Amino acid sequence: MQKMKVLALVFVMAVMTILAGCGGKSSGSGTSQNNQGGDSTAATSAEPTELTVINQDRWAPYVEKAVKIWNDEHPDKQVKLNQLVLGYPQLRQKITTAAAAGQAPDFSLIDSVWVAEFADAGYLKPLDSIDPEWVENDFKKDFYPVFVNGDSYEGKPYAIRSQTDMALIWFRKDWFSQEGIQPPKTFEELMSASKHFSQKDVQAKYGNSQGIAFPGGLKAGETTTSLLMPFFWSSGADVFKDGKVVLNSPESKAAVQFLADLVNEKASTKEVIAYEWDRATKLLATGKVALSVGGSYEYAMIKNTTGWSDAEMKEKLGFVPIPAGGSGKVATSAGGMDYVIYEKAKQPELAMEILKIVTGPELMKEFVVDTAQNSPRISVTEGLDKEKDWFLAETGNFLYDANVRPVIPEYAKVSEQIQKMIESTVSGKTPVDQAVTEAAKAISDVTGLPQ
Amino acid sequence: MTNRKKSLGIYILMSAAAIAIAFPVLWMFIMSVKPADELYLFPPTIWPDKWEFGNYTKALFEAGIDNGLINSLILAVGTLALSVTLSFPAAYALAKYEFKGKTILLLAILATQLIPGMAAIVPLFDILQRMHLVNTYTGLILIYTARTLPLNIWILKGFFQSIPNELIESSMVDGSSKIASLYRVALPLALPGIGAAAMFTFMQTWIDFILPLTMLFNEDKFPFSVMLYKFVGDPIMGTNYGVLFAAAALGTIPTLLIFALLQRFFVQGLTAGGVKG
Amino acid sequence: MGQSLITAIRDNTGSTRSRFSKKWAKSIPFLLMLPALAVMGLFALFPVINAFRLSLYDKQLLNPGETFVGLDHYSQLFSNGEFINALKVSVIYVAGSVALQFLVGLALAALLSAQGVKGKRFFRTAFILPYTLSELVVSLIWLQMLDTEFGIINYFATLLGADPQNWLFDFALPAVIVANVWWGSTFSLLMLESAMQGIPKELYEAAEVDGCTSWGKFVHITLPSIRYVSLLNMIMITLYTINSFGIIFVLTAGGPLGSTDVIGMFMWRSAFQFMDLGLGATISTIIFVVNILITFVYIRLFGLNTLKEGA
Repeated sequence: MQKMKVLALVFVMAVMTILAGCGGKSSGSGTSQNNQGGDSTAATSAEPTELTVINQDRWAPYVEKAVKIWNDEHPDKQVKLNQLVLGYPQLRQKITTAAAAGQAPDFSLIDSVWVAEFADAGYLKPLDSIDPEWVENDFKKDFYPVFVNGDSYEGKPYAIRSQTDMALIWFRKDWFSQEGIQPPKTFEELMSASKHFSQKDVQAKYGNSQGIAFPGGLKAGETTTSLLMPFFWSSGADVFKDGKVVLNSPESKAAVQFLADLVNEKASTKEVIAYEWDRATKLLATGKVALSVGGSYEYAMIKNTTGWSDAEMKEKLGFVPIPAGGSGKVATSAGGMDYVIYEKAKQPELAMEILKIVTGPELMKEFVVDTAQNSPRISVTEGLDKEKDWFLAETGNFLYDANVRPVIPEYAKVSEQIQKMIESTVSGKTPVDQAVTEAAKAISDVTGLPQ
Repeated sequence: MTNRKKSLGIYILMSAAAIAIAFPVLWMFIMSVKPADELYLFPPTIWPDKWEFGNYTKALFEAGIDNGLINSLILAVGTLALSVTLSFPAAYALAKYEFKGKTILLLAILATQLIPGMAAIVPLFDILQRMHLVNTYTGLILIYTARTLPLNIWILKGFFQSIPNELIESSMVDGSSKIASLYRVALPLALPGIGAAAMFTFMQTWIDFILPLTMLFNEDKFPFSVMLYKFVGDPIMGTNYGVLFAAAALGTIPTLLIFALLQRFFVQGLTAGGVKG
Repeated sequence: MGQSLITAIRDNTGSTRSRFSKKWAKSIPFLLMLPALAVMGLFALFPVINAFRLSLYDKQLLNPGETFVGLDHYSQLFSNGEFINALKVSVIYVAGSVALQFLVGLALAALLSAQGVKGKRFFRTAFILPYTLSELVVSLIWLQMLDTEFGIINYFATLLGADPQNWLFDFALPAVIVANVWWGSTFSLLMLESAMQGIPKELYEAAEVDGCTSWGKFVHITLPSIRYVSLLNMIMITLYTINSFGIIFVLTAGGPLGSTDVIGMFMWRSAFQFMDLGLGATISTIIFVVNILITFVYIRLFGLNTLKEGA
């Protein structure tokens, strides 16, 4: 018995040692397997070129499709795709550590707000250095102007938007019409509608527990900034202007005050500061709130969570851009994920060719319709079926009113200050005046820009 | 108080604790078979109305968790082999020899555990790159080995101390094959200690995700722990908890089995390592 | 090697037939330890030294260059209100987690070690369950359970007649401590139970003759006998709790209003959110020093002899 145990242990250890020794070689064997397919036909020149890509789940199949299209059209220049698929939370860490170690992929998907930071560090290849013709004739002509600017840094285009989304006020259209309330177009209307649905008797009718929900703190991270920045713009405020920090203004304070008042007037709750990024609209989708500040990207999630049909969605779900504050104009923010090509890319030209297919009108249309995302291409939006894709067709028009978040290398730190400012005022911890002044100073410190 | 009453009390206490401790895990299994909309019901359905086994097939086949589990196994078993193999002679030396600075060395070994793992990522990447071990399991296994060696050495050292010198000596005087006799005596006696060390090593490697995420560049090499993150924070649909918990449940089964089967080993293993009567 | 090893071992155990010089015999233990020490030196010790060096430089992850800044990072940190807050939160989080984790582990171990209890295997398996999960899974389970609107914990609360609570808002720090303790107690349980099993039965029998109560036996025999393992366990769980922040990352991300912003969270933000490697390295060096201090405090508290017992 004892002997058996020892024998078993020795055997297991031997197996383990072998495994440990050969683990590293697995990539090599994988490559050779794939090569064999090409060998049989002939020519060694037809050996496929490897393209390394870092991508996200929903995006990845379209890159595969594009590579297939390319390979069908170019039998002499076959591409072998090495695509790494990660979730959003890991994307930033993976790409930055890889880039810092000189292990950059050929191209990857990144959040559009990282473009300036990566470009400033010299990690990205300007697109006009690879294909100036495409930049002139397609990029600058067919993409909404907001993206041509937003994906450029110091005058050079660095990124191609794969899809876009915008900040919206979602609301329960069916409840609104029963109560005879119009969709909110101004801050006042938004406040009164939110307060209306926070009354006890109204809540008893609809079963909701709160008027409006919005992501209000660091927990929701970047979502807080991207969805609440339009409140500043519609108030006539901004963070930067002409190389200066202009956050410390009466307009900014009015915007922050409005958000704080939503809580103070009991139209919302302090707890918004601890919301996760998708909580506010999840509450809307589960009937807990009548309005939420959300992103257009949540359409699919709402449909999925409520289980509503297309017709029901049209009937029950309302949406407007962020209502007009002091500026008198509605506003929204255009976000989205971008494809970028790295300076250290081994195959920048090939990467560009594949990206032209991935972000070309055909695949882009397929992608945005499939995932209910907005298109950054004007032609794709215009070519949508107005009946079937009514949501995308309607919201597409908002993009002409859209702004992008500040295009600066220090964006991550700036955004954190904005989130903190909102968290501390909405929770009632810091007076609006003081919080805005402090945030403006902190932003000036981290960017080195004067106030 | 009679003995019967006392043991009844102990059973009640243990049952209460078992329910409280096991509940979240059972709840995970329940959530893993709920369809997405049922996760957002209040009051929650304790027993799912509809069983959504699609979560499991989705996790296993569409998301590639099956491949991830195999990769995790390779990493964990590889680390285990190397870590135990290296700690065995080191622990023997620390248990059976007297030399200057032994206490300091023991403390220094423990001290390598004091550095927060996060901080080591960038320098480790650098080292692996110089050794051409980025994107290999060998590189990861070496790092995990360095992390698990201290505890393994401490556990095994306690073990060897509990083996009387005379036992080792007498087996050698027998005259037969010398090294074989040492292993014949020392190995079986140390087996529970090795079992305990193995379990710790296995768990630490199995659940880590930050190192493979950073060091590996092919998706087909990713271990289960990294694959799991694919379900978290989808920017369009949000986290799909049903599928996520299904994947988590699948990844729990191997560790659960190991613990259930080896627990006696484990408890014995630490006994000698810990207390010297 | 095999030959000399055996001979040397025999030297050590008293044999006289050595053909090797004493010098050679002396180096045996070091040769035995060499592979392990080499791996630890390269992959565990080097990062520590590297972190210290980096803490003296301004180094951004995304930029190749670095500039020497001396102790700037250190003075900068200690005048940073958020860092001070993170230190304070960490103290509560670590103290709370470690104390509860140890006590729960101890209580469970004592129950499992009680004499004449059947079905230990079953109960132990139940107690071990949390430890089979990864930090991420643990966090996500608790995130779902603690949910204000749909969480099972609020459902139980309403069953007991209480109002539903927003746990991660009003009780954020206690909530993350509970989740962490739930996960970590198993580790203490396993170590302590095994230590208890090693206590010779005769000790208890003698105590019974003296008329000791169960509690008396626990205090006078069990506790002193497991001192060494307790020390080791406390050191390990303390260090682990300081260095990890996965549960907080998922449950609260440090909020609301910094109430759960532990130092690990702070370090992660500096190094990977804001790409400031130098600052991240400074924080990790500070954590390293704190860890050493804590280890010494523990050893002091338990008495140096406890360590010698084991060593």
